[in-house]
Amino acid sequence: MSIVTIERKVLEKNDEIAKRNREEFQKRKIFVLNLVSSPGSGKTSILEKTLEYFQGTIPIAIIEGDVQTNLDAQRIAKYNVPVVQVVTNGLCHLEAKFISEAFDSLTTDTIKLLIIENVGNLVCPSGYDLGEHHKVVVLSVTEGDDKPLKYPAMFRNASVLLINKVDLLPYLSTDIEEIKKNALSINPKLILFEISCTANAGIEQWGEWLKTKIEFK
Amino acid sequence: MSFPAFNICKEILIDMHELSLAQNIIEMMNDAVPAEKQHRVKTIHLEAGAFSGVVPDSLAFALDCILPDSGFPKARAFIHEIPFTVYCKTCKRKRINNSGISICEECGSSEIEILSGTELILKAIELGDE
Ligand SMILES: Nc1nc2c(ncn2[C@@H]2O[C@H](COP(=O)(O)OP(=O)(O)OP(=O)(O)O)[C@@H](O)[C@H]2O)c(=O)[nH]1
Ligand SMILES: [Mg+2]
Ligand SMILES: [Zn+2]
Repeated sequence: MSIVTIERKVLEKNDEIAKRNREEFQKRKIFVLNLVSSPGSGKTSILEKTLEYFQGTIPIAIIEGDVQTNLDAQRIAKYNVPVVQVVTNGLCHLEAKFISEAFDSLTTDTIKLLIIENVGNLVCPSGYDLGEHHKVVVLSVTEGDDKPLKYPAMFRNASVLLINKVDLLPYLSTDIEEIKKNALSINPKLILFEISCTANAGIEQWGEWLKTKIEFK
Repeated sequence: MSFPAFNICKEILIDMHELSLAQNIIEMMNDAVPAEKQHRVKTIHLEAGAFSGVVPDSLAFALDCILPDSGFPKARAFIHEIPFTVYCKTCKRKRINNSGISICEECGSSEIEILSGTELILKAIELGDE
């Protein structure tokens, strides 16, 4: 009998491609975000509000990831920005290699901000680095205040938490302070924004934060 | 209104996260073991952190599904679960932290370093005799 020691990360190949993506983004001075949440938390709505906020003043491109359909890319295409739809055909997350292909098909050299909307899923996308600068996790208040504790990997790997649908708080027993406390207990470094796409609240603060990041590059 | 679109992973029939991990594992084993020795592989040792996002039973099931048709038909996977361990810079102590929170359960400090519990690693492979 003999033992072969391997000691390699199972997601090593994905990590290597992600590293190459990141180098490419760095070289082109593009700030890249990976937007993650459970289905329906408002990722596409946030993209729409962000595009409305910038009104073309900053060149933005979007990569949409969905299990099926190009409905989200159709919503984004109305804003006349470069958009690609990645359909995963059942796979529950985006991988770095899909992003490198999708990015190659975006024919614009002037992009300053690229936002990737991941497949709606609070579990699987957490382990897959796409080459982004930050993961941004969206949690809508209708999902309840315990979610950061139930899905810690996502909140641990994110840098920003957008708490969405705060317009609905009066109708819910969700305690927003409890959401923040739980999220910060998992990841004390999280940057938090409270927003409502419907009421157009908090979008400016989020937009200003984005600006500091883009100008910084 | 037109934009490019991609269709990924047409070959994936079972839409399961752990299945794609199992396929990665088999690829890595192909890299590590020469073809003429592959049939001798008996045991695959994996380490999965408590907060790696992987369900050990599902991963074991996915491997059971695809190993018989791989180059490693006799192999069985052992998934060793690794606890979430943190080092508290305030208490200067290492602790297992079952809730997965990044706050020291002893002193409440958030000045902690994660030592283990988020990894998924292919550790080693055992080969039987001819
Ligand atoms: N009340 C309220 N509803 C919102 C808000 N933001 C989004 N919604 C609604 O929530 C639903 C889902 O929004 P989407 O933007 O499609 O969510 P998503 O996260 O992109 O969904 P998937 O891509 O399918 O995972 C839609 O009906 C939105 O109108 C908000 O701030 N307040
Ligand atoms: Mg969407
Ligand atoms: Zn302590």
